[in-house]
Amino acid sequence: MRKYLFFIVLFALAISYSATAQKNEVYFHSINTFAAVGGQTEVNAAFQTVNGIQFSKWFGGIGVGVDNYVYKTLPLFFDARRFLGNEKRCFIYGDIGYDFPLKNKPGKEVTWYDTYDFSGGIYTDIGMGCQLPISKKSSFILSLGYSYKKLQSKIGTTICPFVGPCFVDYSNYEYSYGRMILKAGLIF
Amino acid sequence: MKKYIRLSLSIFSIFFGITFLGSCVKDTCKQTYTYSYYIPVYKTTNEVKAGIKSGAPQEVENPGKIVLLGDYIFLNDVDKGIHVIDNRNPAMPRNAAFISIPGNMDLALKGNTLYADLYTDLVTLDISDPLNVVVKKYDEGVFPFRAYGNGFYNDSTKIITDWIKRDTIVTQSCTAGQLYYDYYGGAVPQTFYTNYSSASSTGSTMNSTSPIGKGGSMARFTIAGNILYTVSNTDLNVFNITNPGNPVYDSKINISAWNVETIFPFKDKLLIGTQNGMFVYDTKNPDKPTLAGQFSHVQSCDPVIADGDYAYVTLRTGTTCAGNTNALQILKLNNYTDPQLLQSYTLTNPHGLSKDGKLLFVCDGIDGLKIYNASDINNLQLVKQFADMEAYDVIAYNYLALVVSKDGLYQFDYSNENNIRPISKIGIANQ
Repeated sequence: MRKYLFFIVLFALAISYSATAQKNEVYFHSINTFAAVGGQTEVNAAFQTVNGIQFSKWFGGIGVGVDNYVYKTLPLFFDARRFLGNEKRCFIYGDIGYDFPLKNKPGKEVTWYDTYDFSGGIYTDIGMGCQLPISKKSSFILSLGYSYKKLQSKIGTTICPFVGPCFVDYSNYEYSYGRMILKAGLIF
Repeated sequence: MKKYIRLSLSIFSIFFGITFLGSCVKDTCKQTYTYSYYIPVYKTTNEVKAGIKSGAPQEVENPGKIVLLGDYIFLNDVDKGIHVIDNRNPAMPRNAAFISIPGNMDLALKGNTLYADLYTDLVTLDISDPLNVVVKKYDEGVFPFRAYGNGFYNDSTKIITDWIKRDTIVTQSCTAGQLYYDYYGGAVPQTFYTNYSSASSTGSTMNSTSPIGKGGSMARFTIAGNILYTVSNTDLNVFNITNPGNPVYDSKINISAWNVETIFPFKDKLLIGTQNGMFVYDTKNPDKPTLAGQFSHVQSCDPVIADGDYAYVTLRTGTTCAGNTNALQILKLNNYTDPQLLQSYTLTNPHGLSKDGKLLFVCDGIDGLKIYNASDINNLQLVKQFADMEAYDVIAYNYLALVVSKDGLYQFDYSNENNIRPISKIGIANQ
């Protein structure tokens, strides 16, 4: 219930800002940020670049990045932003896409494995931020949000009795990580 | 007014967002593990003893160790018993009978007497007529290390004779416990949680006065002279079989090593393979073997054989073996006191091996059977490879190589080194 209430409020906020007058201008933007990603397990770094076009107070683009939280992944996502106010300094954003695994091995928490197979999962990010112009065409951008990514792996261990056929036992793992993400960078 | 509403909504959403999102910051890991466990089927001890006889032949299910004696092959089916195979025509071996021995993993033959383990017990059989074997003696509790483990205890009046397999899927948090290792949920057969499994076989000895079955290199039982030697995980057990039908437990010698695996008799010595090295015991006093020398290697499983001045050891990895070495090592025995490594050949996952003349047979796991010309130990030449099998152990004797593999028992004719060929196969059930 809280989740739904939050999104209703966020939507209402976006709508309330859309009542202001809009200009029909189209701009290309590249948004490049470094991020600190903090969750239950650790705080780690991430990098993203989002490239797309802005039309009036809306922005849409494609983003790609590297996310080092627990397992290194490469998120590929669609990014949408709604700039707020006449000066469009602040915004709310949402990302949704797919997270590709970059890590080859499961890591210390699983030992005695013989085979491993990582696959990706959904990647989402939602938050708010603001930008400060530093020149005519570029601004410093800062945002805070919540990011969620998912991964899966299948790990096999070969068991060999001293005599007799070996066999492989499999375990499937599903990892999901909900974390806060603080991004800072440049938009130009 | 609008501005006031917007401001209120903004503050409220930021506050609510932080509160809400804070509760969503968490990491989860879910593990789904599929494994099999086994439910025991019991019989009383008296029923089991009464059932130890030559019964109707059965299909081979889980081939283990083998021993060859005359025209017969005795092939262990791990945990179940021994197949008696009439091999008078190696091109057409006949599965002639099955001796039901629950918990059997090792065997040794001398003359007309077969020695087999039944979990913790030793069974002595008269096999004058392999198709009508007779129990001569039953020694209880001589192999205590074979007792049921994993917290699963049996009462002494019952014996596990079979297992009913169940597959199960367990889903749990990754931090709930080492489910990854808890393969043994429920009761499981010894096969899957001990690396003591192997059929026993007797190695040949030049000094034997009675025909002794020839076994493979994965043996844990062996006979030299009038002594039956067996190895447990840590000890060398000595049984006097001067009266073949009445083995007498003589002594136990602790071998200071990790996980003793194999025993191979050579001249007046015993070569014992362990996970951290090869040990040489002198049997000049057969009842009291003494340590003569040893060779240490990296942690690995290692069957060992010997020929002349050299010992041949295979090292392999695998979960129960640990380590990271898969190789064939050739040692110079140096009067056995100080074996030294001469050569090491990297292989895939070598298991049992055998040698006849200049031909060295190596079972290299999924790479199958490899046959080398070992005339020059510094330069082994691969003569032939049979890659379409997963080979475990081999006996090469009198131009006939018997190979235990994942899918059955193969026989190869190596009378012509330039034309080594398979001549027969006894497959396993459901293949």
